[in-house]
Amino acid sequence: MFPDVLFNIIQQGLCYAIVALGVYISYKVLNFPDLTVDSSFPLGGVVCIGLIQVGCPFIIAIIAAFIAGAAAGFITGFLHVKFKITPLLSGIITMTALLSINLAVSNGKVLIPYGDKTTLFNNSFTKLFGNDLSMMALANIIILVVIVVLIKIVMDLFFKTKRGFMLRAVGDNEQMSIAMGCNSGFYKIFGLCLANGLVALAGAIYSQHMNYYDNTSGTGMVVIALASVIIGTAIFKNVKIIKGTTAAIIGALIYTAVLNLIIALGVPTFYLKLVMAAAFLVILILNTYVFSKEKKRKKGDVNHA
Amino acid sequence: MPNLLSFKNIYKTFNTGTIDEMPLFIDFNLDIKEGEFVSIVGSNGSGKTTLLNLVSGSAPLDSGEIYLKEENITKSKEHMRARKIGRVYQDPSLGTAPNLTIVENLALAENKGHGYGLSLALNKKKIEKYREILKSLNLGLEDKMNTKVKKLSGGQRQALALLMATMTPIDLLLLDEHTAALDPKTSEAIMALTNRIIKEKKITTLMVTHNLRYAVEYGDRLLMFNQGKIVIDKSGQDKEKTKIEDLLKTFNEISIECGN
Repeated sequence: MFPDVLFNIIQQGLCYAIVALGVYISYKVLNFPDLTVDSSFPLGGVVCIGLIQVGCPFIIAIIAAFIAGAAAGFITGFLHVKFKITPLLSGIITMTALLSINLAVSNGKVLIPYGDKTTLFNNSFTKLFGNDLSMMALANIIILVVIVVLIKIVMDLFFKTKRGFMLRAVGDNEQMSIAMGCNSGFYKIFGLCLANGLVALAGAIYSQHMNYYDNTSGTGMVVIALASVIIGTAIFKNVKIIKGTTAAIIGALIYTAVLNLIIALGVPTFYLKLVMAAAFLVILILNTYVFSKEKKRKKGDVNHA
Repeated sequence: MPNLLSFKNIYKTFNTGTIDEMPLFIDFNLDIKEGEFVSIVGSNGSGKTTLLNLVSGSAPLDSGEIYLKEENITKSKEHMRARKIGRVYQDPSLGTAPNLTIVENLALAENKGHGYGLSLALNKKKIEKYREILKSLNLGLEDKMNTKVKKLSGGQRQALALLMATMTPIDLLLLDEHTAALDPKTSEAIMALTNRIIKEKKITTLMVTHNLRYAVEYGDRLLMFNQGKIVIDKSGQDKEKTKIEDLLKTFNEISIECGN
């Protein structure tokens, strides 16, 4: 019983880790609180299942999901940059519009099963592990770990490039990035494309993992992702060798574990969102009053002039 | 010598169409020669900073034209102009990215105008180069290369901002009261460093300052602004003979006129 629960937490946590990596780009790097996430997550799922159902290989379907998410991010970024709409409102507009788009793509269906279609978690590789539940979970975990680590490595490499540096500079001090001759609006849109691309990719992977597409799977995803990123960065604030990407992944695993733990204690599952929100609140409070205590004490030595 | 920067028939009004409508520049003209180091003084609201904003493109003008190296830049975007124009602000936090380290900031500055692609931003050779450049500042920054810039003092940040603004070949440097937020000693050091960099690299410079002594001591040309007009314009020997007292006298006369 126990290892199965643990395996479940790891699998779910790794799916959320991909969302957290995306939100790390928008929230942490670009300093852009992006609510598009709640809808770009199911968008990835619906694009993926739609393509797989018409016979598309799952890898192509996952890439298509990324592109669809990037398009959603583009719209949010475009609204913000071109029409000077605030980040929150730009995100809300795209998020709301996508609710209809998602339903349109799924022909109005709210739940669609994958059935026995070949997916990321149902293919010749996973069949090698047989029908034992624990072994199947192991196969899934291997696949998810490979994907998460791969995304993390690519992101870390990207943040070492000139473009990666500039993306960080745009989020950190936009005026300075303009002084460096860079079109900051372009970078914001670009960053939001990457972020929502990753979120949609996570949605595609998540739906294959559940073996069905759920139209409501995105509700609360912003909270999950933000909580993950904030937990991770708060814990590893003073550990220089832990990169922000690693922190986001670990944060996602911790947050998933906490949620599952509370539900396992006997809280009815319909309270899940309440638990999510409450846990997020606790994290925010801890982040302000506990994790940053040291920073406050240090303020005296740092010259802010 | 050709003019490096020319303002032609500039009009700029603030709060257009409201009761607070305030015309600042009315048919304003100014030519800056190549290599000139111009100090600009004047009371608050005299148009000094607005002039810099018009050049950098961070504020639009109503009509008129601005030429940089005989190219009409009136309509070009701020980030495009920034490739040829460096700027250091009064606020030390504006010129650098606080959560990036010193080397990361320098790497961005060095790449200005070359585009930011997918090649690695840093390598050992570059880091060594930056170390040498930082050593020449004598601020001990070479030992803090991997420190986030937000942990530096105002003076150190301003020195870094100055270095970054002048790292690539630029046509024009804009200094917007860049020593005003610093303590007197640091202010002196930054001003001396500024002068050294400008002389070494022969950069045409517009320096707005409230410090009349700096305006007299540094630079080859001195302008005093009042309500969008140039009331003093001295260069060469004429400028060398100018004393702070002379500036103060004019300053006071203007103030009385304005009823301050």
